[in-house]
Amino acid sequence: MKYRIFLLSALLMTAALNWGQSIAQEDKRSEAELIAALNVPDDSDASVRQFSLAAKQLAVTGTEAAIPALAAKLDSERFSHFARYGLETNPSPKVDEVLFDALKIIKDTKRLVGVINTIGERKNPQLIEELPRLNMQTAVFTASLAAIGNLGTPEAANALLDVITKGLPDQSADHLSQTDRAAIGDAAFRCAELLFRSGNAEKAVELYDAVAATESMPGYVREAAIYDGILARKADGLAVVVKNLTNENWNVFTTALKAARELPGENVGAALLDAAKAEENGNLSSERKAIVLEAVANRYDKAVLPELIAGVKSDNQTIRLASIRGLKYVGDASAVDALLAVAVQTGEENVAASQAASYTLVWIPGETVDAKIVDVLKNGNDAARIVATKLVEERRIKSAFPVLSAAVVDKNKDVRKVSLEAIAETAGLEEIPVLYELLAKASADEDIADLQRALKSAAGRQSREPAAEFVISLYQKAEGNAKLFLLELLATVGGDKAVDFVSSQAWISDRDTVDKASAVLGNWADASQHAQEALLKIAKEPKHPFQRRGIRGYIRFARQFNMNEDERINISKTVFDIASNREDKALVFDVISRNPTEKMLAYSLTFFDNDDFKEDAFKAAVAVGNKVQGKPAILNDAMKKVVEATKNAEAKEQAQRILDRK
Amino acid sequence: MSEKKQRIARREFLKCAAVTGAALGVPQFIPGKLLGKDGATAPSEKIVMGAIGIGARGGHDLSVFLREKAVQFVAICDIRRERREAVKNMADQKYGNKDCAMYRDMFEILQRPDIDAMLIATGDRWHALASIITAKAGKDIYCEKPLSLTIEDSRALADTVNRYGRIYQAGTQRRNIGNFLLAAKIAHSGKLGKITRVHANTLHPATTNDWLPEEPLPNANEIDWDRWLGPCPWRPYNINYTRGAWRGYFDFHGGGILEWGTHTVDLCQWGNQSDDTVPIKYWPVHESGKSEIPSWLRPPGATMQDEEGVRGTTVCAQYANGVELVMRDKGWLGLGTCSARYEGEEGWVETGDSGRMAVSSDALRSEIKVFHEAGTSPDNHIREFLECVKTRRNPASSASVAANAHIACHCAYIAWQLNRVVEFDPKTERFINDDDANRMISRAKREPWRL
Repeated sequence: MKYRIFLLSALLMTAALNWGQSIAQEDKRSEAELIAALNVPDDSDASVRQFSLAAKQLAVTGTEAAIPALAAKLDSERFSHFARYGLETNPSPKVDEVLFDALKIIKDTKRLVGVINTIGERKNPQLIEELPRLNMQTAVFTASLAAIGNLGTPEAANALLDVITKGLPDQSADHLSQTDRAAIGDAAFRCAELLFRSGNAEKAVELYDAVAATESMPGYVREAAIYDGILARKADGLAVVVKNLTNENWNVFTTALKAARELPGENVGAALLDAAKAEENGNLSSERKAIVLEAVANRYDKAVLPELIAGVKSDNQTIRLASIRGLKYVGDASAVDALLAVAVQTGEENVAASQAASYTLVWIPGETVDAKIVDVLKNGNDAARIVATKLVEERRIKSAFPVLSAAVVDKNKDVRKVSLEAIAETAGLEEIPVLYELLAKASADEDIADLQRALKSAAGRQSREPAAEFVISLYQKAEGNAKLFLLELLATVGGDKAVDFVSSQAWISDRDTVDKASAVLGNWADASQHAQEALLKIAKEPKHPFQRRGIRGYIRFARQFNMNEDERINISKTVFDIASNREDKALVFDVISRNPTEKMLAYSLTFFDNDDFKEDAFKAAVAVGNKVQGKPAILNDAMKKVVEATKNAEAKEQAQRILDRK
Repeated sequence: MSEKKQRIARREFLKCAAVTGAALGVPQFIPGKLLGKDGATAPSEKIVMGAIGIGARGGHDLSVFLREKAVQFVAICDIRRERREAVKNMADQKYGNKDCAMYRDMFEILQRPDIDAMLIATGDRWHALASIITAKAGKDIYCEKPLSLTIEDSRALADTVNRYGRIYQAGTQRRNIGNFLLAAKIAHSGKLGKITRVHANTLHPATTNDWLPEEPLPNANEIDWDRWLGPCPWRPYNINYTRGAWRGYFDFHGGGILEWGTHTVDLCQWGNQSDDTVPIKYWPVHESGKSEIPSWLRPPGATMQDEEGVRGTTVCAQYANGVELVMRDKGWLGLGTCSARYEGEEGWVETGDSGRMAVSSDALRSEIKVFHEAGTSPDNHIREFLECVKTRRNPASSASVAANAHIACHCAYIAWQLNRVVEFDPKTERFINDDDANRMISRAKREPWRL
């Protein structure tokens, strides 16, 4: 329920935003006007708002001319951020001058950090020279390091290496918190990744290794340094991965194996497998072996296939599960026997492996795999057949149909149920009669529901015209509730033949059939011409027992479906003329509100002098006004009329807001 | 292989291109037991989790996490007392104890060494920065979308997550929902022919710079307004912002392209097998009499609405390989919210949140599936995340994959704001010969916040 509310709020977002509000993207002021707006009289909220709007626009369009007025506010508590907002993206080098000037003046730590952050964004190398002169409060210091890291140059790297290896320029690093140390590490990482991207992998590795070697760094930062160091070394990173296979720190081990998944090189997988078996690494725990196997599999490296197949049969649950998961990536027909053997196992101790094996089997391609699954379907015990049937469904193995169709009358209820679901996913048109015959014979409500669902699933995937012909042929021989269900089935099939036939049944003498046929038409899944004609015919006939259903079904096309405006208005006009009920006539205003365009607004105007419907029309016009952008002349005129004539206070207020918007 | 590409998980669906002859199927559920011994998970083997910023959507996600036996949820951080307490009650009720800890400051919760992963479901303004701070604290992350307000934030998020080797799953759960999986699989299989155009359901792109009327500032323990604003520009307090009415404001929200495009453009990136790049050209479509609506924007049997005299809501884009991406809020077949459509030289498939699927021809109908229930549930997506936390492989909506989808959305939004064609270089992530657009790649953050 909460999620629905969330979804609704997202849907209403666009409507909400336009209720009398200005559009952020429509500030058309000249630069001179924007600069003038920066000249605020005080630091009131109104002034902040005025300043912020101008600064935001100048962030995109401002030239050198805008710099002085923005820079003047860099040391202001209320305006500093907005000043930086306007300056940060301005390409003029004069911005850097005013930022460095501000560094000398600003005493407030927070504002100083803000200015340094902006210098960092602008990647100005002058900051390295300024570093020794800055106040050494850690917030300022770490901001400066982050800014230096963002330069991504060898000079920046050297400055950071100095800090990492020697501590702060003027004092011991001992007082730094773990968070501050992590910030230093992060500055180094940022610098290193930029160096790596620019082709200087050597310097990047130097930075990563320096962080990894600094014992005072938080553990996860050092682990990240190892991870990044492996990747920065490219193919040479493999040696670091291998070295860490036996690292006593589990996190370092898993970090190295995560990197191994991403390392370039064809031989990475085989080398890892060899290393994992090597005598010097002979004592790898099963947990570690499992991670190695899965990492190689995630590389889509077939070198691991034999070990995974062996692993599927392992008594060790960790190895077994990792092997099964890994086969999703590299498995082929050679793995299927082992996987099927696990998938059909029963007992609580095998549930996890069985489910995992079934899941993996869905992903392994090939007809050989299909054949082996069908073999289990034919020869397995009930539990195995159920597993195999689910696989047939998810893999859509059509060749299994004969076995499945026999299984739908199995004495085991669970077998029957899964077989039906599988048939629904595999049946072709020629196989639908089997399902239908079963439906005809079924007596239990649950079986009937399952069969109807299966028939809809199967029919919904067939070519429309032959499927419709076939269902119609069944209908002509059917009786009672079976006929009514077949009308629903025709709706699932869809297409002109189906709609025409259902339409024909909406005019016969049997009331139940007419009821069902008109209901099916009223919910038709598309707005095809045939569907529209079918409903219009009912809507126009006062003697039809479900004329109102026809009216509502017909206007539903205009309310909910995609069509051009003229067509939408024509349907609305027709319904307004045909309907005798006020409630039905008023549906045209829902069409207008849901489809806010100027043409629909013009249509709403035609009701402004209609005493019975003018208030509905006013509300619909306001709804359109709230949703369209700008204020075209027709909207202006319409809203003036609403303000003058409506008796609804809310409509009046909203119309006035639309008139007032710029 | 480029550095950026290396960081993108190998897309398992790439393999589907080779199975053109076979019928396509998708597993409906990721079994929870993939994670290990169900019901008998030792506390030391559990994934210990906390959360930041849990409202309506986050509460829905959290309820799914709490159902997973592999998870032990231990702490909530929220700037609203009411929500901190609500989440604590939810967790304590689940576990039958009083152990869920409450925090107002995210740095405090992130200092807990016992926490492995965080659920982040703040408003959009905080998603990128909170995720970055969390990754820098060495935690894995499941974060709601949209993950960023700018191109720069998107890239910084992916860089940081990758830098720390963290597992990140964006809340774009349709990557793990049956009908969307099947549609992508059909696109990848070659059954549609060469993909030529992909369509993403978006909403109206506009946002506003207006302010709500000022209200008295509450005690910071009730609602910490300064922290609520975080990196965004200051504005006076109004309680409605904190109750979800922040949507539609430029400072806090990316408009309708980001709102749904982060799902549907992401689906298009996936369907087009372009997770490792973004389109290179973007242009707003003028749905007025002055500018012709391309006929290909019109679905079969219908024409687009003609909004004479106003800027349209559709933005088109083109990938380097010529495939076009259409971001639009109109002309859909009515298959539900967040619809996506993949068109190839030989056919198309469309699906949406109703679970229903439509295809261009009878020949393709055998490939689709009748999903009897609508579904937008994140269950499978969350389960995949948990599996990845354990195994350390990257999940479907990794930071790199999600960042590219978001960057495509931001580029489209920028083209819409500028109301003209913009060209983008995916390698440098800069617009080509367009200073205005380049100045919209980032926004200065309120002090002391930085990426």
